Amino acid sequence: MPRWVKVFAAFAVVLTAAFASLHLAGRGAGGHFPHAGAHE
Amino acid sequence: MTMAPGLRKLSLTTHVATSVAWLGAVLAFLVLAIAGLTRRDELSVRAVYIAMDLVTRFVIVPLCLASLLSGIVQSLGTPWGLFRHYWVVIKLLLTVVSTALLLLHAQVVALLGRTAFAASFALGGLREARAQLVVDAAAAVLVLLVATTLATFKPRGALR
Repeated sequence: MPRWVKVFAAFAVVLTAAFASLHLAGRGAGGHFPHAGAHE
Repeated sequence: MTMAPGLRKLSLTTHVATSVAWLGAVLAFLVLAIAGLTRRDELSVRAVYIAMDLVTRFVIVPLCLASLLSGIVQSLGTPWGLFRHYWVVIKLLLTVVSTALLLLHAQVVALLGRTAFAASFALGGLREARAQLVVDAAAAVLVLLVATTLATFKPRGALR
């Protein structure tokens, strides 16, 4: 496997993990839908 | 199976045009998503989410599917193949995952579009979803730039 694929895979894993944690966080920028009782 | 030169160029033109147009449409979507999150006047915010819903349905989703399909045709009809080179496999993986996430998140955009159309306009409760769209669009721009870079540089490395 070429070196660039290994470097790419490492970056991809880190970025995917960061995005997934943000995405699934529930609150903040991660939530898809409003939580019960959310008002503004 | 290799395509004739004329057909190959037509297929390549279709793939490049749809892929680059997809990137441009997502950039425009990102600008709208930021405007929808930061603007304060109701009319502007309503217009932004209605526009985002339309752009997603009639521009981004069709371009995304056309890019994926034309990319598969292009790789199968040329010596590059679909699973012969790392850069092609990685680009395919990025496109398939992006397509799946786009189709999933189109529902969020549709929800915001419907809410913006409603007489009882209340987007306040959807602030998280609105913020999420900014994050998603920024991530999509990054992924599409990576895919474009891979297609341009075609880094070496065969799977076998």
